[in-house]
Amino acid sequence: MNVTALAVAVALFALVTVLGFLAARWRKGDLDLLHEWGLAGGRFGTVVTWFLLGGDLYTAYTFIAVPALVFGAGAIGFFAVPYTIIVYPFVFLTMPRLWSVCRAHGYVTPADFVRGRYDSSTLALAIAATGILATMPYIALQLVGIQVVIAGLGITGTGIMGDMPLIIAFVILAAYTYSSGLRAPALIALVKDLLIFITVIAAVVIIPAKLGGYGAVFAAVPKEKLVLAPAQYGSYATLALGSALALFLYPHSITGVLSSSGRKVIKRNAAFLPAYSFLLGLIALLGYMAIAAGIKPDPIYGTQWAVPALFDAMFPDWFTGVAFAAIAIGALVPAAIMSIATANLFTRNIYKEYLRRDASPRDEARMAKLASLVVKFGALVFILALENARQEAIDFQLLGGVWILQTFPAVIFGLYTRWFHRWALLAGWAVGMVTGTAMAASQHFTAIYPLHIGGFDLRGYGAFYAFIVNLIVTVVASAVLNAMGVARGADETVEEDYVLGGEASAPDARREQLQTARVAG
Amino acid sequence: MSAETRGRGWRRLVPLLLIIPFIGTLWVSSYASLEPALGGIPFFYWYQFLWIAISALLTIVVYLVERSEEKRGQ
Repeated sequence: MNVTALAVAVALFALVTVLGFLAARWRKGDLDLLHEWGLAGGRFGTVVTWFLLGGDLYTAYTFIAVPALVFGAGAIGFFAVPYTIIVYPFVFLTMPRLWSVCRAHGYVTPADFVRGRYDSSTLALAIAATGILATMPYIALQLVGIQVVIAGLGITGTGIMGDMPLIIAFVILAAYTYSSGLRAPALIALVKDLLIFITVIAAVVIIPAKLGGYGAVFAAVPKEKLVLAPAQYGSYATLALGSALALFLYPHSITGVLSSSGRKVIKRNAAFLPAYSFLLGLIALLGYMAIAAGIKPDPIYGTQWAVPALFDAMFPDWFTGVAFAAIAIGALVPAAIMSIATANLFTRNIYKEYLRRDASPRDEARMAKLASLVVKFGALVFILALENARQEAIDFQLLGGVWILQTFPAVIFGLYTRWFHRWALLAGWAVGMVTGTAMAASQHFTAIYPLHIGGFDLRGYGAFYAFIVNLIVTVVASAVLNAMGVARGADETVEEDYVLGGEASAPDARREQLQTARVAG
Repeated sequence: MSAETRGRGWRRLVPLLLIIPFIGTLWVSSYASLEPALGGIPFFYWYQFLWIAISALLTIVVYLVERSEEKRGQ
């Protein structure tokens, strides 16, 4: 056991625990309201949102899995870089519209928006259920990230004692998320991101220096790993594009967007979040540094062992503690935001819609807090109880990416046009879900589907191909249903809702106007 | 009127700059090679790092143009 590293990691963990509970008093709001608990009142400015989204999107699992993929498979693993480049222009163009319409109508989840736009609680349920299903395994993977770190600190044991550190970490996380809501991960994200930046910058300076420079690192990697084969180009591009289009459909990403205080905050973040992409690129290169350092895959953790083993071999003990704490805390932030986002979806789009229509804002907040506990303990039990849980979580997370991309037409196209018919969107979603799941299952849960059309090898990201099928069904069915004049439902949004400015007064005025209209109507 | 509909002339086309990163990064065959290497780092890697900066700069340009439009409209 590495006692120094363990002591440093435990101390840092204790620090963020205190922060998590104190967060309830930060920018104080009435935490008995869903909007305050689950979106922190929507008052976060540019800097807090930058830390929050950075802490939310670049998860502990990312820090383990991306270098692990580069370590094991080489250049293809670097797709994480183009993925996180193109996601931000996409965010710049689309997310301010989502923010505006959600602010104008008090929507807390993407499914709330879909319900209001298309007048269909069924379509909203599909969106909400997809979001919950896609996020659950993602939470479980954060646990895997913590597990790897705990094992890296040399804590081993059998049975319940071996699982104790993970259980303690998660109980603490659940407690402060329950009491502080989104404020807790937002405050902890500051610590997390600083630790990650320090760790990575130290890593990319110290480790190559010990290995003889970057030239030596790349020279140690077999040539066929260093560059893509022509047959991989399509996979690389579709993995990047598909992942980028999917990222901001995940409930936890949208929660981050909606908690910001304005359109400008989102646009500025689209310009400054690429700093994390730079970091991610450096982290990806850790995979090659592990090869150069002669690290071998672990019998239990496989290639995921690469980064912890590399840190342990290269850093002094105390700094290994900092690095491992950075990864573990890096798991807590997204796990908290994901459980909050899932809880918001359950509360708004299932509980209030189907179980208790007359739920007051206070009932909503109470339900959401409870749901966030259930989600987290569900993930914990999943990881601890299942024999092969780590692989299952990875497989399901892959499917989660396939599924969440199928909500793209309803949510993103919905921001621009009402041309698509609600039943067509539902049909496209269903076909996309089935096609994507079947593609992934047929390949034993690997992301790449070997599509062949007319003698051409078009292998690529299965989620992306399922999305194309979804699009075709949605367009054709919309044309047919619209021509037949099937009822389209009422749209409670108007064009100007989508471009409302960031000034606090404007949306409030619009909301008052809406409320007056409702009372009058 | 909003920032999105107010743009005039060439300024309306400025958001199209945001398409450039998609072309730069998704046209994989244009950069999937080891040479020219830079300080031992193969082309494939440093080129994509470069695109992180280009994409961020383009986003800043679009943001600043939109903001100046908004100010002029007020």
